[in-house]
Formats: sequence, structure tokens, C-alpha cells
Amino acid sequence: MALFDSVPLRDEARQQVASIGQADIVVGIPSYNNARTIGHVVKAVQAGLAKYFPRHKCVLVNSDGGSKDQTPAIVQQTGIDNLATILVRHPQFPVHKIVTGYHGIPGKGSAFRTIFAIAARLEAKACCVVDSDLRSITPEWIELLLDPTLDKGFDFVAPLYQRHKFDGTITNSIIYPLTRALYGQRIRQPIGGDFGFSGRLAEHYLSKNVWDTDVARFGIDIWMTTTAIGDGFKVCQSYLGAKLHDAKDPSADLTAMFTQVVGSVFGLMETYENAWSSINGSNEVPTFGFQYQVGLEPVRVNVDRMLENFRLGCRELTSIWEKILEPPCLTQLAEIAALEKGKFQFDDGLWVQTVYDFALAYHQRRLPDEHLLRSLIPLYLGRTASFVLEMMESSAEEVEARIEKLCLVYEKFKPDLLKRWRQ
Amino acid sequence: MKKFIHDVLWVPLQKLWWDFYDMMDNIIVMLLILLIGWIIGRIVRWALYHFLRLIHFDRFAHRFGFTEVLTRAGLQREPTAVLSGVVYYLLLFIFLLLGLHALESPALDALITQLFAYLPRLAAAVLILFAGYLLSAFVNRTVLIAAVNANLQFARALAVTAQSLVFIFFLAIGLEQAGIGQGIVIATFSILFGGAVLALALAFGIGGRDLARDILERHFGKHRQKPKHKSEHDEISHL
Repeated sequence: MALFDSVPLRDEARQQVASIGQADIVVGIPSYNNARTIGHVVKAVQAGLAKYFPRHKCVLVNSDGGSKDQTPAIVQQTGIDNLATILVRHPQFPVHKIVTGYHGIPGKGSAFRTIFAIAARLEAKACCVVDSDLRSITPEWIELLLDPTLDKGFDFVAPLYQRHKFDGTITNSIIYPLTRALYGQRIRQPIGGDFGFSGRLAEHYLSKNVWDTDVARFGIDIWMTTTAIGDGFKVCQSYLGAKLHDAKDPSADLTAMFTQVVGSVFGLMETYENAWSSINGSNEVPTFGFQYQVGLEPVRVNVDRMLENFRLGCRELTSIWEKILEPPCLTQLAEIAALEKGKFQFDDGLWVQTVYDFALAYHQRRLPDEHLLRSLIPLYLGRTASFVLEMMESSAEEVEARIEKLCLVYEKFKPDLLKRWRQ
Repeated sequence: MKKFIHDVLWVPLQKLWWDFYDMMDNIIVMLLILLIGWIIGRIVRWALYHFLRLIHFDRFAHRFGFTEVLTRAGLQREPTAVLSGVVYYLLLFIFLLLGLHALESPALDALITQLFAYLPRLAAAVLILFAGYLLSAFVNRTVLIAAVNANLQFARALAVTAQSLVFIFFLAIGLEQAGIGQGIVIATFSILFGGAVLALALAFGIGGRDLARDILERHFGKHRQKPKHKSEHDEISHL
């Protein structure tokens, strides 16, 4: 039985796949109630495919989580009225569309699994996935995500964006530095959400039995990146420009996002222990695309609320943190919790020690996973508040240099993590 | 005088000796049962200890709060040793009862029968209380972390209240199972639980009107409520 046979597809999708037969490129768009933005994304994808891959047989797959706002209908109806305005050469094949729901746990990961299965059935050479809430996607994104796999022999293309200095705080404070220190590859946006990958890698993803874990939800992005690195696939990144997406209330989803993403990273540390334990330092990965400066929308941050949450955590969660953190770490946390806002500083060493202690506690199963991961949130907010206060007047370049400094601390402390991991 | 001593002292002593002599077989059987029980207990304790070590029981026990329960109870030993010790003494106790039964004393038999009849209820009650303790501690931690993440200043009070309610619930079931003051326990629990729920409802309704309105509007309102002040709103995209 082929790997993709293990993934159930809806009847209409199976029929469409059968009628298409084979494709060179599959572009996946997971969605859930994205009627407001998905039309633009579909147009950009269609234009990108027509403009940059006119001689390839392309399929656009919308894997929808049961939207109630006509999202799938919009995908079906959206097309480019006049291709001649953007094309030099008329495409040889029309872009096929498959609009389908998915089976399994509701979440982005399950939506991706259906896209992987369709790509595998169609024997696609190159695939990419893009978020359905993007406002800044252009046709060039499609070229930048697909071309390295089609023409340059890469298996995985991570995105590289220009983001506001206070955007992507989980990425900047945990996911990027930790992934980089562990696996030695400087992939700047490991959970960017818009990825390119080869058909070979799509099949490899399908071979993993992870679809009833957090990978089926927000954990999918870091899982894709880590699996590609950990299993020795050739990885690169492409500069896509600004990442602007539909406004939502991030604080409402923070707990779920945080626990699923960080839990996935910690879980993957166990899966790929052999891959990361022998690595020291880190290396640049090949980067494609012309890098340029773009204007970014301002981001409002409520530092007071974050600090309040951190201090509340220090007051109430110490009995839980005692099971996770080393005593010097606890002492330092108590000390900084007493500082007033103007002097508040959650330094790099303390933060990295905190993250590593939590990773070890997760590894040693000292607490139920949900308790452990959720109790890290006040500390994360404290660290974010400190970062925002420190970087309030800094430029984007200065912030990037500051993140680089943090990464080096993660790399410096890694031998100690490894020593304790093996005890 | 000689006859008196013979009748009053010697005959009863002789009778006692013959009674004891008649029971000697039973006593030997009892001692044999105790010896077998002790040997089996030691073997089971050794096997269980090593099996639990093999499956990393201590790690699970730590994770689910069992170690914490032991520490609070003043037991500093590892859970693996405690559990295998409990099983050992339980086996000794069972073999002791079997040994006493072998004496074939009607009075002891009646007592043992009663004890055996009560044991399952007692064991069930202990298990219920233990499960209640573990679950209530778990609830405490869950509520505490959730409340802190929701930035509720009364997080600790909320967690302790939730834990107490869960434990009282299990205590009532456990005591009822043990047959202790059934009517009073149920009545007390009903009053306490009902009172607590009513108090919470009133507190939430009166004290937390704004919060209640926010939650209801958030879930059922057509438009989500906007923050009162612009500065209260975060626009950070964490991922």
C-alpha cells in the first residue's frame, strides 16, 4: 500500500485527483474562515504559477477546516480576469483546483497532511504551502518557494521575511535560536508557515506517524522544518519580503499556539537526539531572493500587562517552577520580579537557562506536558516585555543583531544542556 | 488438700495442656502459613520493585504527583520502594488472616469473616480518597496555571476552591463507601457543594459582571468587544 493511501480523502477530491492523473507542482492553501483574504492569496498563486511555471502542470489545493464563511466557494470562483497583463508567455496548462475538506484533528497540520497526500498521489515534483490570511503575498513568492526544489536540488525551502521588530516573538526568543543551536542550521523563520518542499519530502512527511499529536495543529510548521533538517534533507531559505497577514486577536490564541509549538520543539528534541547531540555552533543556509527594505505596519505592545502576568506567575507558580528550574534560576527570577518597570531586565543567560531547564523537565516527564508548557507562558511574557523595553528605540538592524547575540548564548549553553540531558 | 489441689489446679492445667496439644497442629499450620506468606511477600516485593524500576515508575509517579503525596505524608523514600513495600505488608496481612483462620477458633473466625467482609469497602474507600487527592491536586495546578495565564489576581484562591470542591466530593464518596456517617456526610456535602456553587455564581454575577459580559459578548455577541483603552490592546503576532 502506498503511503498516501493511508490518508483518507473525500470522494470528490479523490475523483479530481484521478482525473488530473499527474502534476509537476502542487500549491496548498490551508484555510478556516478566511473569506476576507483567501481570494487575494489564490490570485497571487495563480498568477505566480502562470508567470513563472507556464510549462508545468500545476494544481492548487485548498484544504479547508469546515469554514462557515464561504471560503471554499471563494477559492472555486476566484480567477485572474486578464492574464495577459501579467504574463509574457501564455501558460501551456490551466491551473487545476481541488477544494476539499480534510479528515482528522481540526488544525493546520491535518490540512497539510491532505495536501501532502494529494501531492504524493499526483507524483508532484515540487510543492509549496502558503497561509490563507496573507495580505502581502505576491506571485514572486510562488517562484521563490518552488524554484529551489524544481531547479536547484533542494528539498525544503523555508521563508525569510521582513517583519516588524516586535512581531514573531515566540520565533525570535525560542524557536529560531533553539532550532539553530540544536541543529546547527540558521533557518531564520522555522515556523514561518509558507514553505516549499519536494515531492520526495512530502512522501517522507506522510510516512511519519504524528497526526494525532500537536503536529496536526500549530506544531506542523516546526515539525516540517525539523524533520527536513533532522532526516538529512537539503534545506535553504528564500527571501519573500514583508509578511503582513489578516488582523486577529493574538492574545486569545496564545496559550494554544505556545503550548503546541513549544511542545512540538521539545518533543522533536527527543526524536532527533542523535541529530542534534553531535552538533556544535551553527552555519548559514543557502538563501535565495533579492533582499530589500520594506515599510512595515506598526505593532502596539502592552508591556504593562505582560509584566503584570510575569509578576503574577512569580508570585503564584513558584511551587510548580521548583520542579522544573534550577535553584539559582528561581532566585534570579524572584529578584527581577521585584524590579520596577524602568529597571526590569530578563537577561539572555537567565532566559536560555530557563528554556533549557524546561526542555529537560519535558524530557524527564517531571510534570504533565500541558502543565509544564503552560507554566512557561508567564516567563515568556516577562522575557518579551524585557525585550520590548530594551529595543523600544532600536532599528530593525539593531534588533536583528540583538537576536543574533541571544542565539550565541543558546549555542554557548548547549553543551551543558546535553550533559544534563544524558544524566 | 491433695485432692483439692488435684481438682482445682492440676485437672484444669491438664485440660489446658490437652486443648493446647489438640491445637498444636493448627498452630504449626498457622506458623507454616505465616512463613510461606513471608517468603512469598519477600519474593513479590523484590520482583515488583525491579519491575517498577524497569518501567521507570518513579518518573511517572513524580509526573502525576504521587511523589508529592508521599513527601507531604512524610515518606522520603522513592515511590517504587513504597509501593512494593505496601504490597509486601498487604500480603503479610492476608497471610496472617489465613493463618488465624487455620486455628479454627469460632470467635476468631467470626471476627475474620467480618473483617474480610469489610476489607473491600475499606480498600475502595482508601482508593477513592487517594484518587480524589491526586485529582484535586491536578485540578489545583490546572486552575492555578490557567488563572495566572488569564492574569487573574485571585488565581490562588480560585485554584484552592476548585481543589477543595473536588476533594470534598471524593471525601463524601469515600466515607459513604466506608459506611461512616452516611446520612450526615451526604447532607454535609450537599450543603457545602450547593453553597459553594451558589456563592461562586453570586460572586461571578455581582463581582464579575463586567467579566461575565465580556465572556458572553465574546462568545455570543455579533461584535467582539473592543478594549476600553487602546493601550490595553496587543498586536503582537507571537508566532
